[in-house]
Amino acid sequence: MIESLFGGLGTVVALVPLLTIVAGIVLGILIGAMPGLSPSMGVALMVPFTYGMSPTLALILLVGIYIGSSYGGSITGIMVNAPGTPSAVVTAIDGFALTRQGKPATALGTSIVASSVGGMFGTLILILFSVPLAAAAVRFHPSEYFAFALFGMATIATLAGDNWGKAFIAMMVGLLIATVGTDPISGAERFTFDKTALSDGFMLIPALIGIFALSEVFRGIEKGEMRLEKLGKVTDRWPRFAHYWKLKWVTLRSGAIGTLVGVFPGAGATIGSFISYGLAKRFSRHPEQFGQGSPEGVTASEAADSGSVGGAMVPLLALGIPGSATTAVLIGAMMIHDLTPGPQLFIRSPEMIYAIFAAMLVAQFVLLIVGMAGGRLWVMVAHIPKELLYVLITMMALIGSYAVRNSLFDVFACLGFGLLGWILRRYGYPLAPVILGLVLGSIAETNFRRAIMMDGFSVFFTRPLTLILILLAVASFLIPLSGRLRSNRHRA
Amino acid sequence: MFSASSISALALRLLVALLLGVGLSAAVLAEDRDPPPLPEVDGFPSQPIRLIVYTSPGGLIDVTARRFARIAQEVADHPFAVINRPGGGGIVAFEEALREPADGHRFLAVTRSNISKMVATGREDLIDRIHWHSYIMDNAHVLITNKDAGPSNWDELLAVNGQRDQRWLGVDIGGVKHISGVKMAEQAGIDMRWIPYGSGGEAVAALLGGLGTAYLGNPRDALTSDRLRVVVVAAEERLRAFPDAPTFAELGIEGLEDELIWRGFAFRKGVSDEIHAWYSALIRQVLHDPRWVSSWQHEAVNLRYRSSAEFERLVQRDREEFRRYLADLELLPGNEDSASGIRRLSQGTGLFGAIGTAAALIVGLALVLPRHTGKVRAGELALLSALSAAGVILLLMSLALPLANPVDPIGAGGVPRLWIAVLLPLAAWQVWRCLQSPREPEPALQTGRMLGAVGLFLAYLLLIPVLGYLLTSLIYMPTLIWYLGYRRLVVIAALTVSWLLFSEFVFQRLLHVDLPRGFW
Repeated sequence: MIESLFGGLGTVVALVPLLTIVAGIVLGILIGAMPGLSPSMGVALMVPFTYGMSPTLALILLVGIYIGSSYGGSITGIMVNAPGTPSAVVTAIDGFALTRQGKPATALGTSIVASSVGGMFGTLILILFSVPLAAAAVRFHPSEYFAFALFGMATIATLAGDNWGKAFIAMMVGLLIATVGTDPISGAERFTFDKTALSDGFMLIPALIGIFALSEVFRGIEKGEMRLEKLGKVTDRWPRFAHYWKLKWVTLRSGAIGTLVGVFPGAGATIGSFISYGLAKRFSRHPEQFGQGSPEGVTASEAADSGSVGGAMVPLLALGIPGSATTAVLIGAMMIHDLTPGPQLFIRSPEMIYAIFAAMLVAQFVLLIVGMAGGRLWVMVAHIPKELLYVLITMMALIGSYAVRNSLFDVFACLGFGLLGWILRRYGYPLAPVILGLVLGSIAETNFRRAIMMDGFSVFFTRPLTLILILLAVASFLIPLSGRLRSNRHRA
Repeated sequence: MFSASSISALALRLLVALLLGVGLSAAVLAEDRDPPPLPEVDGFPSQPIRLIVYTSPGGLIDVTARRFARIAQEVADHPFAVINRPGGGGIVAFEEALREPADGHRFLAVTRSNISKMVATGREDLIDRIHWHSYIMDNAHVLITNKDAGPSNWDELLAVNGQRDQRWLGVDIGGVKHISGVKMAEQAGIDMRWIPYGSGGEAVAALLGGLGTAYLGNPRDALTSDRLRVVVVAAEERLRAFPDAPTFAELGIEGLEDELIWRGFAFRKGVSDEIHAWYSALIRQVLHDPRWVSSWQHEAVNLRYRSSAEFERLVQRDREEFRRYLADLELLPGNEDSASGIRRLSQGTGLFGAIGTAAALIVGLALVLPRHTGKVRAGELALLSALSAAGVILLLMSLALPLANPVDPIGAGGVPRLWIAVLLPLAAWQVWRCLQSPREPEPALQTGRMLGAVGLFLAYLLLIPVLGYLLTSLIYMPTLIWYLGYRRLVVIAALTVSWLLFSEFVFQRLLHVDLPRGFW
C-alpha cells in the first residue's frame, strides 16, 4: 500500500496535477463561500469542464472542489453569519461571535487549520481502513441511524445556554418545518397547501440564508448598528502555532467523529459537526466560552466537517455507493468518464485510486496555504460599512436562494425564514437549534419509521448497538441539562 | 484489499460487460442505420440549449443527460447546458419547461418514473401538456440479492420465510420500482413488504448489510459490487451481463417480460415541427456516435431509439397501468377515507376557519397585551401564540394524512403529531415563565426602520417578475443603501454596477441560472 501511495504521489506531484489541485481548491472555496451553491452543486457545475481531461485529472479537480467547498461554507458563516453549507452553521455559532469581538483572524485561522488537519485525518482513515469501515457501516440498521440522529439532536442540551425551554421550542420549530413536503415513506403530500414548490419541503439553503443572514441584517438595522460602523474593531492577529497546538486533541477527536459519521451513507456532515461540537464542550476546560466565541467550538465543527469528506469517500471507493450528495455527483462524473466506481476501480485502475488518495492529502496542504492567504482577504469584509454590507447580504440572499432551482418561491421562503429568525432572535431564542431540527428531522423520522416497518417497535430494545446509542444520546442530553438545572437552583 | 476470487469474478463480469457493449453497438446500428443530417432551421438555435433534469446531480438520468449534452454540443456545434431542477419527482422541472417559451431552447430528460409520479400526485395534466419526443434507452428491472447472506437463486428466494413477510428494499413508495415489485410479488405469490430508502445507493448498502431479502433495481446496481447477485430478470430474454440469471418467463411466471425503466427526451407542446425534426436528427446522430455507444457498454442498458408516436403510445400505456396499480395500493389522491367528521374538519372550510381564528387571536393579543404586560413580554407572548396556533393548524391538517397501517405503523401524520405534542406544552410552559419574569425596560429599537427595509425588499421581490432582475436591482440597491443612511454616490453606483455585472456574468452566463427577465 505504501508503495502504491508513493506511486500516487509521483503522479500528483507534477506541474499540471498540482495546478489542477490549486484550481480545484480555489474554485471550491469560492463555491462554498457563496450561499446558494452547495458542494454537490459546485462539483456538478464543474463536470463539463473536465470533459477534455484525463479521468485521473478530472477526479483530482472534482475532489479538490469537494474539499475546498466543504471548507468555504464556513467563511461567510464566520464573517457575516451566513453559513454557506448546513454543517457550517455550527462553525458560525462561535466563528461569528469571534468576529463580533473583533477577532475574525482568530476564527478564520482556527477554522482553516482545523479543516485541513481534520481533512487529512479523514483521508488517512480512508486510505487505511476503507474496506472494513464500509463493511461495518452497511450493517447499520435504520434504528441505529435513528439513534445517530437522536445523538445529534442531543446537542440541543449544549446549544441551549441558560434557557433550554427556548432552545427546545426553536428545535421543535425546525423539526416541524422538516415535515413539510412529500412523506418519504407513504408518498403522501404533507402540509404543502397544494404548492408544487413545497412538494420536496422547504429547500435548506434558502432556510439557512434567511434564518442566519437575513435575520442578522434585520436585527442589525433594528438595533441601529449603522453609520459607517464596522463589524467590530479588528483587534487580533493571525494565531501562532501554540494556539493550534492547544487545540490538537479537539481537532483529532472531531476529525475522527466527522470521518466515522461521514462513512454512513445518508448521515451527512452536519450530524458529525453537531456531535463533535457537543462533545468538545463536554470535554472542554472552558465550556462557558462555547457560543460566545470559543476557538474550540470552531475547531470541533470544522474538523468534523472536513473529516466527513474522507468518510463519505469510503463507501464510494469500497462499495461504489454514494455516502453523501457530493459523492453521488462524483459517481456520476466517474461514469461520464467511463469509470465504474466501486471495488472494480481498485482492480482496473489502482494507480488512479492511489492518485486520488495522494491528491486528497496534497489538497489538504494546498487548502491550508490557499485558505491562509485568502483569509487575509476575507478579513477585509469586516471593514465594509454596514449599510453596504447589509444590502450585499440581501442581494446574496436573493440570488443564492433563487439559484437553488430558479424559483422565486424560494426567495420568498428565504424572506419568511429571515423574519422568523429575526423574531426568534429578538426574544432570545437561539437559531442553531432550528437548523438542527431542520436537518436532522427527516433523517430521524425516516429511519425511525423504516426501522419499525422492518422489525417493529422492539428493535429499539433488542439490538444492542441501537440500545447503547440511544442510551448514550439520552445521557448526553440529560447530564448537561440536569447540571444546568442544579446550578440554577444553587444560584437561586 | 480484495481477495483473488473476487478479483477473478469481477474480471469475468467486466469481460461480459465488454461483450455486451459490442452487442449493444451492433443492435443500435441495426435498428437505425442512417441518421439524417441536421436540417437548417431559421433562427434556431439562437441561444444556449438547456437540458432540464428532474433530479439532483449524480443519478443515472443526470449522467444520461450529461453524456448526451457532451456529444450533442459537438454534433450541433452549439452550447448545451444540463440544469438540475429537482422537486416533486419531475413536477418542478416540467412546470419550468412549460413556463418558458416554446422556442425549443429547453427540453426535458424524462424517465418512466415521471409518469408514475404525475399519476400518483394527480398531476396527469402535465403528461398531456408534454410532447414525448424520443425514447432513447431502457433497462429491465432485476431482483438483486446479497451473495454472502442472501438467497443464491429464485428457488431459495421463494423459500425465504416460506414466501411470507419478505423485505424487499427499494426506493419511492408508489414509484416505478415499487409497482414492479408489487407485480412481481403478486405473480410469484410472495407476501412482500416494500422498504423504501432515500436512494438506490442507501438501499444497496442495506442489502449488503444483510438487512433485506432482495433489492429491486437496475442491472447496473449489481455491477457495482462483487457481493451482489442478480437472481431474476423482468425481461423477455436473459441479460448478457448476467447470463446465469433467469427471466420470470423461464421460471413459469408470466406477465413480467416488460418491467423496465425507460429514458428519453420531451418538450413542451407548441414547439415547431422544424425544430422537432432538428432534434430528431440530432438525437439519432448522438445515439449513433461511437462515444455514446461505448460509454454505455458497462451499464447493462438497451440503447434503442423510438420516435414520438411510439413513445407517446408507451407513455399512455404506462399511465393506464400506474392508475390501476396505484388505485389498488390506495396511493391515488382522494383515495383516503375522509368520511369522519374530525377528518373533514382538517380540510376546506374547517382548516380556513382554524387559520382565521388563530390569526384573529394573535392580532388581538398583539393589540391588547402591550398595555398590560409591556412591549417585550407582549412580543414574546404573541410569538408563542403564533407558534402554538401553527402547531394546532398542522395538527388539524395531519388528520387528513393517510392513517397508520400494519405496514407503516406510524403513518404520515405520526411524527408531526409527536413534535406538536412536545411543542404545545413547551410553549405553554414558556408563556408561564414569560409572565413570571420581571417586566424589562424596553430597549431603544428602530423597528419601524427595519420594517421599512423589509418592505423595500418585499417590493423588490414583487417587482422582479414584472421588471426583470437587472432593472429591479438597479433601482433597489441604491434605494436601500440610501434608505439606510449611506450617502457616497460614487461608491453606491460602483457597488450596484459591480454586483449587477457579477450576477450577470457569473450566475446568468457561467452557471446558467436564468435570472428573471420581466415582461418587457
